[in-house]
Amino acid sequence: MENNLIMFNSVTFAIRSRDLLKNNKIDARLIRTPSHLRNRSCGYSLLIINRFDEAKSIILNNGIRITGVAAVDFK
Amino acid sequence: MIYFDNGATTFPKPRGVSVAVNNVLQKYGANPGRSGHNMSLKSAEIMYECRKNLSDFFNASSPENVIFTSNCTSALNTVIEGILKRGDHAVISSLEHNAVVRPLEELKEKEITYSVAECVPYDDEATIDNFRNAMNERTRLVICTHASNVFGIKLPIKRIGALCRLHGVLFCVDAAQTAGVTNISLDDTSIDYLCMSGHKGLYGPMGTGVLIINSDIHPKSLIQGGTGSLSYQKSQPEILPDMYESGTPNLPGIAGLSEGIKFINRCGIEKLERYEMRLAQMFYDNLCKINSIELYTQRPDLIVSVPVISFNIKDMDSEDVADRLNKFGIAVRAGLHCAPLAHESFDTIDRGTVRIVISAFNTDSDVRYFLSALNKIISLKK
Repeated sequence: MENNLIMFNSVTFAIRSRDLLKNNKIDARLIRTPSHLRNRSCGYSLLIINRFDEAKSIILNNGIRITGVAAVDFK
Repeated sequence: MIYFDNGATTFPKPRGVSVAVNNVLQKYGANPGRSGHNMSLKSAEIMYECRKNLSDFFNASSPENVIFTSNCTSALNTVIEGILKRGDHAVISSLEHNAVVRPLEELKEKEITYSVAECVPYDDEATIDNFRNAMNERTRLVICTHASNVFGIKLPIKRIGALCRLHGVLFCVDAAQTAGVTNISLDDTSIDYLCMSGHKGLYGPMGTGVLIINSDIHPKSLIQGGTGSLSYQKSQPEILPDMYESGTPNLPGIAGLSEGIKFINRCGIEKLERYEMRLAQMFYDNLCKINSIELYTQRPDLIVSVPVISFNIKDMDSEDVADRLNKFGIAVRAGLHCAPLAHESFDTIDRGTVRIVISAFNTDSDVRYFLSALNKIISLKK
């Protein structure tokens, strides 16, 4: 399963990233970081279905710190 | 009531502000940034939207550099107490509010000292010289009001900022009376910390204030606690804005503040400023015609001042004038306006002044009514 989750340590970073992605026409859904991943980020995550690598690179290029990426089965 | 006490807090607020506050209380009243349920996420969105609106409004480097505080005083305290260390020196202007003076007085216990640079009204060269001369090798921070809360005189913050850069000194601006009233852009000034009220010229509810950090040097946080982030970590997170926002935020206030900013954007800040200045000039020109009125400044204009006028009636106490205006249904603030330094500078420390501050909601007829009431008060005094 490919990565589809980008994790942040604050909701501010997560929402700012989501808006950046929206400007680049990439859909991202704001969620609470799933519990089994919380030791790495107790905060919030963006669930990204398409163009994951591009999304990650946009976020990093805008100087936003991420705490990790993961693959989750999210329905 | 005819309300001219807008320097203390603006009233009324735009309708959208009360609607936003009410919506939070009735629909989205969850704690933002703490949980994953829909209401908490919606609350976080509301908070972020306000941060983004403020960041865009002041051209901040990014939304996370916008810190919510409970008022301008707490923003100023964060900078003053969070930056200055034992042995440091600060420089302030002679027009500062007690929100600046009192924290500095308190810090004298830690051998932190400060000097006052005399603001010379309408002479920027002399004012800059005074700031330069007040600095020494221990000066770490300059704190300066953007405009006097008593006399409305603007200080040359761009030039003071440039002076600070030249000397490697951090620069903090108190924009309590100017945020939302006159344009402030963080990308063309050397401001490191911009402190403001949310409930004055930005038309938000009381209990809102903002600190925008425009420097890599972050003040120490004065309050530590839960931020909803890095919860496994015992020490305070060092990420912005969480570092400074421990505890549950004032979401209703923040939602209202967001609407206040939208109101200014819809009206256009330059248009509002011109409108308010025209009313201030109408006040000033008519007050000049009354023999027993004492004024302390030049005619206000957009370059040198914000729409604030201080005056006295000859041989009358300022508080007495305010009481009599209140009987006519007019709200003003008299006395020292928490700014004894400014009153010392203008030699009004003994009796204070009566202060008129204009907002977007004042009208020509408010000014005419005020002048008519004032003339009655003066004629009854004789």
